[in-house]
Amino acid sequence: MQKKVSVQATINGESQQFLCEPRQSLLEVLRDELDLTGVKEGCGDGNCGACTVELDGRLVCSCLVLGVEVDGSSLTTVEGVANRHELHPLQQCFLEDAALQCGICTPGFLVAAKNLLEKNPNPSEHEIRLHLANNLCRCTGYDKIVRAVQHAAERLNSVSA
Amino acid sequence: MSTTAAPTDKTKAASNGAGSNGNFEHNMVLAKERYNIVGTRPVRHDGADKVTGRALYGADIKLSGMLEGAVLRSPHAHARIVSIDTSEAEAMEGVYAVVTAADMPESGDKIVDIGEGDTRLSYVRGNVLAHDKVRYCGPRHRGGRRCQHARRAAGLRKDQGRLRAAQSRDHHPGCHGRRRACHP
Repeated sequence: MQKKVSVQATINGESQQFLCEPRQSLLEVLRDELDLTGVKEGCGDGNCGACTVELDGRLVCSCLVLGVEVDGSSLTTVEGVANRHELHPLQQCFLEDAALQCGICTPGFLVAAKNLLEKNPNPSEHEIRLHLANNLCRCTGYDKIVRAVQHAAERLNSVSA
Repeated sequence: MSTTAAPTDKTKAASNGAGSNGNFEHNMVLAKERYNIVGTRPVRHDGADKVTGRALYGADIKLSGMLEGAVLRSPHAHARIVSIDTSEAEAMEGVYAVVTAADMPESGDKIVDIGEGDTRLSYVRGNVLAHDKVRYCGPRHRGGRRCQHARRAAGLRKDQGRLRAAQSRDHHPGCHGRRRACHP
């Protein structure tokens, strides 16, 4: 076993310090060391997007990032999408629009969609589909998910207006 | 959760849209009752857990002393298994067991109902752990296995046949994990 490395990162707004082996992926660190099991492993090789997290404002597949690489970075996982008191409009719209079934892809979709709406509050349907192209869903298909993101964008805009 | 209202007189409801000859018309309304759940779009009750990442799936559960499994998949889509040498994997420290199709009982030529219709048991057996012949090419995993030790043991091979498949289970202290579906 290789020597563990101390890593400091801000995860969902909280500063965290943890030990990880140099070989461990960020996905393994999040799930096994930090118990953030909302982050899912689908394929483990960057195809499915289930393990998507936001790393310094950029979407990454956490299975393709090493845990030691995130030292000094800021991360958002699905656990950080809602605030302490209520669901994020995206989460609410996913529920209302039935944009999930088994729920394995949902954490990745939510993190990716949140990232999109922060950069572009008024995305077109095409922009939503393009932005979510790295996330695969095998249950609902994509129409309901796209619709949920559109409704969430409307809701966010009406709150801020 | 509220319960569905009891349906009322079925014959009356059915006669609403039925033609005089008893045939049903397109898109006819068979019942005009309003139900609390049927015909509405309720929010799924496991939904909140799933959108917050709180829902626990099999792979999210850790038990103390749990063994970690890894599956070695066939590099060929269609190949005859000449031999499988598990000795090196078995000799590794911490390896609890290496399982191949040879450890499974002979299935015979039975037909069984596996929930999706009748299937020949020998086919099902071959889909779980390949014996004799490989019929799929498994995807190769580059990362993401939680226990590197199990993965390494599964990856061990000696050049003795055209194909080797090994499954290893590992019980490192502090190493928790899950079993994977076993495809050859």
